Amino acid sequence: MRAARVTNNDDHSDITDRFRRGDLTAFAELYDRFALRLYRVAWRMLGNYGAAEDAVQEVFLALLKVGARLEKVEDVPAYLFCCLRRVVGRLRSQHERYQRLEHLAQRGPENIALPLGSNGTIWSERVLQALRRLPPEQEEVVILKIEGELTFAEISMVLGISANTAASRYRYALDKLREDLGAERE
Amino acid sequence: MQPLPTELTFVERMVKSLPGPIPPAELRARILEKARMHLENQRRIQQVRLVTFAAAGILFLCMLIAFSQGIRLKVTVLPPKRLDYARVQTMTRETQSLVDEMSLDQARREALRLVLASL
Repeated sequence: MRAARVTNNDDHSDITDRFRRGDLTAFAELYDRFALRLYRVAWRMLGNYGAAEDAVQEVFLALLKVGARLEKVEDVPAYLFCCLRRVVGRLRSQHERYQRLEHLAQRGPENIALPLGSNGTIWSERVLQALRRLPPEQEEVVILKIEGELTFAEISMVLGISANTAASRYRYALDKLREDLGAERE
Repeated sequence: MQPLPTELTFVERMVKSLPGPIPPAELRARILEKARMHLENQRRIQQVRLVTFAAAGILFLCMLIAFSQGIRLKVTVLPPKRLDYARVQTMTRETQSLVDEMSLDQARREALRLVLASL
């Protein structure tokens, strides 16, 4: 785990060094490297494009504020996803509060809609629905692993659990998905 | 970590193949613009901080010089002697009694001159 961390940090050390010196291109590179993954994870967790954009923006603005202290961060991807998780939690509670105020019992239509492109099918919709039926802690691990492309070591840092727990949650989730989708197919 | 069995890797592949959104280009532009503004602000704050420190240093130095010069003057320069008016009065009377035709003004002027010369 330690070795993985060091390697991971070495990957980003040049960018983070330049970023700490106030190089805007380094910040742009960090954005290009992580934005897509962060955005997809945020979108899966929040189910809303606007909220996902807000979450990603907040994460990068938080990164700006960290600035020179970024050298203390052991694992940059884990740190970013940790920030994202916090922001998502806050946005979720804000959204829930707003929904209560507005007496909206259901999520908006955008929340359920999939960005079905050329590869989007009804089957994708079923997989997504099955994913939503997972227990939240398992769904979170699957999202971080697949959309966030994080290792179990990084997921363990983000969620504050052991890497083995993250791996077993992932495995249980896939098992559940297999059962769920198999049952649907039958 | 044990490798996943085939049936699970299939499920994993299915989840991986789910279409996902791509962050809009405006988001990148917006975040980079905010970053540029933030870095500019930081630079400005740093400059202001530097100038403030320099000004505070100069002010402190000036105060130190003024204080040390004040102390030096107090120690090295003797205070001026004070004029003894009682002595001037006595000398005026004595001068007037010694010289008959001398007026009071003249006597006082003479006494003052003598007292000042003796300081």
